[in-house]
Amino acid sequence: MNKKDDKWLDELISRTINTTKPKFDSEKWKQKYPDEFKTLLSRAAKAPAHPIRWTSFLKKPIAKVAAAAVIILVIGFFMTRPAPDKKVEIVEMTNATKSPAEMLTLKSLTIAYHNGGIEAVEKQCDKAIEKLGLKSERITVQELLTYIDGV
Amino acid sequence: MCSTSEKEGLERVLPKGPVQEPDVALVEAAIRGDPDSFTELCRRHYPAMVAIAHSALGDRHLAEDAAQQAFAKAAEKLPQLKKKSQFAGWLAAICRNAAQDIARSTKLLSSADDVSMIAAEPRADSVNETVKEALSKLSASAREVIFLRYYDGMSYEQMSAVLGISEQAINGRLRRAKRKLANYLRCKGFGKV
Repeated sequence: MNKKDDKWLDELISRTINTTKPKFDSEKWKQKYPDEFKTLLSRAAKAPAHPIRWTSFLKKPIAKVAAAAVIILVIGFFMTRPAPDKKVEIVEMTNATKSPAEMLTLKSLTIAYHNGGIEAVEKQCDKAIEKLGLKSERITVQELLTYIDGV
Repeated sequence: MCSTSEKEGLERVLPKGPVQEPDVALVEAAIRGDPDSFTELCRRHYPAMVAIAHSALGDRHLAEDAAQQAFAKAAEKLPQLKKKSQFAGWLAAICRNAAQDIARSTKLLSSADDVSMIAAEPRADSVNETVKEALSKLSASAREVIFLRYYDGMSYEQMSAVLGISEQAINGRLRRAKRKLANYLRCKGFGKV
């Protein structure tokens, strides 16, 4: 079919079946199907007055992305937050139960450094020395290490 | 997307419908018992449903009865609809069943699978009657596409929602149906096609 014939066929079909566009008469329909209409209305009584929108809101992709972003931000906030003072206290408390050798391990000293800097390291060393029954003024680091090796 | 010359030609003949919001919100409101939302859905889909029923029954008044019956069933069964975005296709399936029930009850069907158009009495003296006769020779699905496209002036997108097939499939089905119509009319002595 060429374009001219195609157009002619379109017009022919339109003229044959294109009657007036039907319009829906809701009042007539309600009169004709009263039971079905009542069934429809009865659902309004069962449904909550203010339907919860959260479920439909969370189904949207943007809501999922927003929720994920909030979780990441919260985790990030707690991870980058500076250590609270309580942490030092906890470390000090745990140090009380540790042996001097444990208090002077690299791991233990690193933790002390992260919690309170070089002062915390010195404090931990002093405590370890105290535990050993030595006086810090009379001992060198070399002596201390020699002593610990002996223990 | 279908950008064939056939589609372009039809766009000139048929008016474009207004842009409408999706059915989903209306369906959800109707499920909660909002009668206005259901009425709006009926108003929106009534022409398409009448077209579908008309293509099966061949009678406008019976087609309107079938469409209204389909809405009555839809009002009852609406909470059972799982995919609310497919409301139009679901409604069309109900409408086809309603049309078949009416056809059976009025003894319009010659067999369970053959839905023929009773209005298509072969009267060759009238061009319209010959076209009706040609339409009656098409398959039910092809006739449905023709009725929706010409009778209701639906876009390919709207037809895709109602029929549940792609726009390309609709385009192909429409072209094949028109070719068959043209061949039939040519056999009947219409020289232009």
